[in-house]
Amino acid sequence: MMLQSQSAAVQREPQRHRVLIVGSGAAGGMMAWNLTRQGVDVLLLDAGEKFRRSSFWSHVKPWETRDRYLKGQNPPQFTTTPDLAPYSTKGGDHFELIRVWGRGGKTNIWGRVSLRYSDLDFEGPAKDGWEIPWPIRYKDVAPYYDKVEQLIGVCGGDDDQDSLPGSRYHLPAPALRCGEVLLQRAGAKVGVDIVSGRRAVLTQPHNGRAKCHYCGACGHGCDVSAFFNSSDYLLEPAFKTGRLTIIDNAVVARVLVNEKGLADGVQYFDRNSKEEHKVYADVVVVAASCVDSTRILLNSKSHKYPNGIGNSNDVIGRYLSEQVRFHVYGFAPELLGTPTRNDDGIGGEHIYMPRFNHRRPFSNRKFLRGYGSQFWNTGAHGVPGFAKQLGGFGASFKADVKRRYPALVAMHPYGEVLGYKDNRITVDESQVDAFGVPIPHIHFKVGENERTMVQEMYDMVEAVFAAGKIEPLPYQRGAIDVYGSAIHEHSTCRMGDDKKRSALNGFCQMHEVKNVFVPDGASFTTASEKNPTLTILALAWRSSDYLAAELKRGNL
Amino acid sequence: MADTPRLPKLPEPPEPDRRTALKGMAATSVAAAAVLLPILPAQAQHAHTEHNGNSSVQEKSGYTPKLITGEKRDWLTAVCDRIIPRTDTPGAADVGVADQIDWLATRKDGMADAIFAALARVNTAAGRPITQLTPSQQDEVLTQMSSSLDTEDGRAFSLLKNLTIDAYYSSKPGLNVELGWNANTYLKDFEGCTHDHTQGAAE
Repeated sequence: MMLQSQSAAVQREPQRHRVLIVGSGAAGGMMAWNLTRQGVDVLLLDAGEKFRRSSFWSHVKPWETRDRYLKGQNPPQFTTTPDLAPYSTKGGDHFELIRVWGRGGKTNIWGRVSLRYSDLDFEGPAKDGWEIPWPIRYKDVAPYYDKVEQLIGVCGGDDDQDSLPGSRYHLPAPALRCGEVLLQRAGAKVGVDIVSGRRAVLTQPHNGRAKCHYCGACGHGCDVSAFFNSSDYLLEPAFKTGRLTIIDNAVVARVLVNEKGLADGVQYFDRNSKEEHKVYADVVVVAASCVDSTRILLNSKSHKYPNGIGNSNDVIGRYLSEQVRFHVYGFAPELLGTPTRNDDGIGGEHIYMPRFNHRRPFSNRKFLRGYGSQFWNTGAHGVPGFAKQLGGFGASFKADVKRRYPALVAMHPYGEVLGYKDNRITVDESQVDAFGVPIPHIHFKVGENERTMVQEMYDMVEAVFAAGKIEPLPYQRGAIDVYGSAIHEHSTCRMGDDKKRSALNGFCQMHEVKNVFVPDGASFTTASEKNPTLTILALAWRSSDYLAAELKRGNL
Repeated sequence: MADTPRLPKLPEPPEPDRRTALKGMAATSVAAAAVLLPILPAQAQHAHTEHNGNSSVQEKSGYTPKLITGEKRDWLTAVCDRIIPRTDTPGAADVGVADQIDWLATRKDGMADAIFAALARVNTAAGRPITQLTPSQQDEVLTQMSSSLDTEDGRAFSLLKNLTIDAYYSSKPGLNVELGWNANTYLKDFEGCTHDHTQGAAE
C-alpha cells in the first residue's frame, strides 16, 4: 500500500494529479471517498493533521481535568487560533468564526443534527422572490440523502413533517429524557410538533462500527467513532482504495490558473515551516468550509480573474448567510427535586422542533422563511452553569441548585437569515496572515426580516414554556446569540441557474471555470433554518458523481 | 443592529454539543475540578478543620497555590464557604475550591487581580478582614453586597459566587455527592425517562 500520508516536505515533485481537493471535512471527505471508489486518483490537502482518538478526553471527569493539565496532558486542540487563522470584522459587528483545521474538519466535533432540507427550503426563494432560486429541488437530492444516511448512520423517527422529510433508513431513535417528554407534551398543547431528533449517531452497530455507549461527551470527540466524522467514515475507506494521498499541514492560499483560464493547481504553505509549495491537478475542488473556501477563491486573483477566480460577476464572497438563534432555559416543575438521572444519552438533544410557522404562526407578523428549534442541555448534564443565574447563597442556595438540577430544560430556536448582498467576505492586502496571505474580512448584519422572525421565535418559546408550566431562567427578549455562533456559514459561492447572479451550477461546478468545484456550505443558495451537514454530504456526493462522470466523458 | 439587544451572559452549558465543547475547549478549566480525593462527609469535617491557617489541605491535594496564597487564600476560602457551605454534604472549603480557583486564575490573564479586587471589596464591606467575622456576620456582609448586583460590590460578589460554583460543582463531592451526577460512563443502552415524574404532565 502506498504511503497514505506524508509531510509536506517530501511531497514536492511536480506531479500532476487528476483531482485535487482542498479540505477534508464533510464536503472534501465525501468528494475524496466517492471519487476514489470510482477509480479517480485524488490528492487532498488538509490544513492540519489527524486527531488521534486515543487522545480524546471523552471520559475525563470534570474533577480529573486539572490534574491532567498539570501533568502536561492536553486534549486535542480542535479549533484554530487567531494567530494561525486570523480574520477580522473590520470594525463591524462581531462574528464568531469557528474553524477546525485537521482531518475531518468540524465533523470531529459537530452537533450531529442531520436534517433533510425539504422543498419548503429548496423552493423558498423561487416562491417568495428573495434573491435567486435554487437550481435543484428535493427530488434531485433525495436519492443522495438516502445514500448518505445508509453510509453514515442517522438515527431518528418516522415522524416526518412537510418541512422535515422522513427517511426509510433511520436507525432507531434514542429514548427521550424526562425533560424532553415534558417539552414534547407542552409543545403539543400549543400546536407545536416536537419530533424525534435526527442525529448522525449510531444507536446500533452500523457498517462495522460500534454503536454509541451513551457517555454524552461527543463534543470532546468520540473515542469509538460512533458518530459520523469525515476522517474515520470517509478518508480511511478512501485510503484503502490506494487512490488517496493526503498532504497534512497544507494551508492553501490560492488556486493557480493556466493560460486557458482553467484552474491548474493550488499554492499552499506548510503550516509549520511556512514553506511555499505548489501542486498541480486537472480539477480543483475547494472544500475548505464556507469562509476559508471563499478566502481562497477571492485570493486567487490573476490577469484573467482580477476579482478572484470565477468571480467576474462579483458574486463570490457576497450573500453570506448564517442563522439567528438564542437560548432560553427553564425548569420543569414535575422534575424539581427528583433523583438525578443519567441524562447523557447520545449527547445533545433527542428531539427537534421542525419549522411550522408556514402553517400556524403565533402572530400576524410577516416575514420570509422560518425557524426550528433544538433542545440540547435538557436534563442533568455536568456542572450546573444555571446556578449562576439563581439568586442568593448559602445552604438554601445549595439546596435550590440541587432541587433544580434534574429539572433543567432548554430551547434553542434557529431562524434563517436571508441572503443580503452586503453581508460578505472580502480580502485585501491590508491584513495578511503568517504566510503573507490576505485574511478574510467578515461583514455581517441581520435585517428587519430576521428581527421580526426572532420576535415570533420568542413568542413560540414562551408559549411552549407556559403550556408546560416551565419556570424560565431570566432572559432578554429579542436578544440573539453572537453572529456566527451557529457555525453554519453559507452561500458565499452560491449555486444557481442564472450565471450572472450565481457562481456555481447545481453540481457545485463553477460557471466560469469548469474545472473548479465548491461543494461545501458556500454553495448553498440559501441557509435555511436547518443544520447543513447532511445536505453538504448529499450535495458533495451528487457533485462528485457528476465530476467522475465528466472525467470519464473527457470533459474535464 | 444597534436596536437588537445582545444576549446576556448565559449559563454555561455543560457538555452537550460542539459549540459548548468548543467554548469549553479554551476553558476546560471552567469544568475542571479540585484534585482532592473523594471526600465523604466524615472526612470533610477533618479537611475543613485543617483548612484555616495551615497547609494540610494543600498537601493532601498535591496542588501548590501559585497566585492566591496566604491571607488572600484564607479570605477567598471564607467567602466561598459561605456561598456553598457544608450541609449534609461537603462545602466549598471541604473540597478545596481555593486550589481550583487558583489554578483557574493561572490560566486566564487578569483573573487573579480581579479576584483580589473582589476580596478587597469584601473586606471593605466587612470593615476588616472577612476571616475575622463570625459566619453569621460574614453572611450579613455578603447579603448586603449581593443586594444589588449592578454595583461594584454586587459585581465583586457575583465574580466570587460564579467562581465558587465552577470550582465546587466540578469537584467530585460537589457534582457526584451533592448533585448525584454519575454520568459520562459506558452504558449498554440508554433507557431514557423511566420515572413517573412526567405522568399526567400534559393533561
